[in-house]
Amino acid sequence: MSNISEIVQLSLQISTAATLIDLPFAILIGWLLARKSFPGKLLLDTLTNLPLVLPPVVTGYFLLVLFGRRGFLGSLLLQHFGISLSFTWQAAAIAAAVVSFPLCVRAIRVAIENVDPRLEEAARTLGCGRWRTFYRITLPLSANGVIAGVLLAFARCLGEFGATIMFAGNIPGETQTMPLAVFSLANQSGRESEIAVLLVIAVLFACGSLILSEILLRRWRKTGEFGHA
Amino acid sequence: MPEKKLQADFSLRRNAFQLHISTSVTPEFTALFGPSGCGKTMTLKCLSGILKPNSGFIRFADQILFSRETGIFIKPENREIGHVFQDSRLFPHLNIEENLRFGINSRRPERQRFDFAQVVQILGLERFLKRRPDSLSGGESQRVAIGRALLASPRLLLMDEPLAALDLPAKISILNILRQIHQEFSLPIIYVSHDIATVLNFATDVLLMQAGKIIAAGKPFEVLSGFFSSSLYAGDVLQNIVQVRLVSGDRAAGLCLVATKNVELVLPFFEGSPGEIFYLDIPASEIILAMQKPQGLSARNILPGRVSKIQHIGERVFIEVNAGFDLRVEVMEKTLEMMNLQPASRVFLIIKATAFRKVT
Repeated sequence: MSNISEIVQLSLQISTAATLIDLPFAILIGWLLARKSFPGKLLLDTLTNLPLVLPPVVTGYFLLVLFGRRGFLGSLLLQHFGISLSFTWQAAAIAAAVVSFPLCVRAIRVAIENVDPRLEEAARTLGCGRWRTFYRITLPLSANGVIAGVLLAFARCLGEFGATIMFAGNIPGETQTMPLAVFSLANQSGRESEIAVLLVIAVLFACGSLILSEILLRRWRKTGEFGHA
Repeated sequence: MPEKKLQADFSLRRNAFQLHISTSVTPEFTALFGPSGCGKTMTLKCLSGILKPNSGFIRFADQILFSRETGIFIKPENREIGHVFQDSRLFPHLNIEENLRFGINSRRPERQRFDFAQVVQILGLERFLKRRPDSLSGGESQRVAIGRALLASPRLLLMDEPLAALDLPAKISILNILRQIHQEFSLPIIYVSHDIATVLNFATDVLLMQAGKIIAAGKPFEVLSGFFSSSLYAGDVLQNIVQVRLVSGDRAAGLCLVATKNVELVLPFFEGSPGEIFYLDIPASEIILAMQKPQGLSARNILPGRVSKIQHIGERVFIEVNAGFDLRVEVMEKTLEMMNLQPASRVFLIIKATAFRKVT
C-alpha cells in the first residue's frame, strides 16, 4: 500500500493519459458519425458504444486476451518490440481509455452535429479545403462541446475499476488508482480514515469535472445559437 | 478582359425534382430569374461545387469544373468562384473583420485580387469591423458576406437572392454595390432574383429559369417580356427605379428638389440632408406621354425625352424613353397608334410629384 498522495497522483496520471489517447480517435469517429454516411456506420456506432453497456470486467478481459503476453496483439508487441503492456500503468491508461471512449465520442458527436454544415459549405467556397474547414470552423464551433466531452471522459477514467483490475491488476505504485486502493483498503480493518480521505478526493474530482463540463456545455449552447443570426 | 464564358450542360436529380441546365453565356452582371422552386439556388450550388451534378459538364473560362465523362470534379475550394448565400452564413465565432479576412490566402499575396481596405470602403463596413455577426441586420450581414466572398479573390461571383426578409431598400442598395463592383473590377456576377423590377433595372442580361431549366437568355427586357403576358405576372406593375441625390428641401412649400446625373425632379417633401443618395420608384403606368410641351398643368415634372424602344408584351405596350435617364412608360395600344410613336420620336414625360415613391 503506497501513501495517499502517490495514489492520487497515479490516478491523475493514468486518467490524463487515457483522455489523451481518447481524444484524437474520439474526434475522428465523432466527426464520421456526425457528418458522414457510409456502409457500416451502424456497426461503428455500436462498437463505439459497446464499452458503455458491457460490464467493465468483460472489457478488461477482452483487453487482456488481446494485449496479454500470449494475446494476439500482445505477443506481437513482445516479439518485435519487447514490450509487455499488461499489468503496467500504461495498461491501466488503455483500460480507462477504452471504457471512457463512448462518453467522449458521444459528446463530440453531438457537438459536431450542432455545427451548421452550411457554414462549412461557405468556408469551402472561400478556398478552405476539408481539413482547414474542420479546424477553422467545425472544431472552434464545437470546442466547448469537445472539451465537455473530454472532462466527462476524464471523470469516468478516475472512477474506472473493473477493466483496470482485469488488464492492469492492482499493483501499488504502478496500477493502483483511487478506486482500486479503496477496494484494497476496504478489505483491511482499521483503514477507515484513509478510505474517507480517498472518498472525499474522488468526489471532489468527479464533481469538479462534471461541473466544469456542464458549464462549458451551457456556454456552448449559447454560442451555438447565434449561428443562425 | 479575356472572354469568361460559362458553358454548362448538366443535370441533377433531387428526389422528384429534376434540374437540367444547358447554357452558354458570358456572364457580366447577369440575373438568374425565375419563380421560387425553379432550381435557381441548386444551379448556383452546382456552379460553386457544393453540389455535384449526376451527368454532363460545367466549364468556366479555360477551366473544366465538372465533367462526368472524364471524371473531373474541381472541389469548391479550388474553383475561385465566390458564393454569397441566401442566408449570409457569417461565422459566429469570428468578428466581422475576421469573417472578411477568412478567405484571404496570406501565403499567396500575389493572387489577391481585391484590397481589404477598398472592399471595406465600397461595402461601407468600416464601423462594423470589431462587431460580432449576431449584432448585424440582414442587409449588413449580406454586405459582409459579399465582402468576404470578394476577398477570397473569385473569378466569378455567385449571389443568391438575399432572404425575403430583406426589404426592397436593402436589396437595392446591395444590388447597387454589386453593380459598382462589377464595373470597377470587371468581375462577372450571376445573381439570383425573382423580382422583376430589380432585374430590369440592374441586370445587363438575364437567364430565365422555369421548372429546372433555363428557358431563355438575353437582354432583360426582351427575355422577361414573355413573363409579363403570362398570367403569373399579368397584374404586375412595372417599376422604374432611379437613383437620385437630394438637392434641397422646402418644408414650407412641402417640396423637395432631387437630381439624377443630369435631370432635376420635384418630389413631396421628406427629411434628408443635401447630397444624400437614395432611390425612387416610379410605376410605368403613372407616367403620361405628350407630344408637345404641355402648359398650365398641375404636374410638377415635365421632362423632354426621346423614345428609344417600343415593346409589345401580350396586350401591354411599354415605351422606353431616354429623358437623361431611362424610364419605361406603359401606354395603351390605341394610344400608340393615335400618337404615332416611333423610336427616336421626341416626347415629353409628365410625372406628378406624388407618383414617385421613395425607396430608401
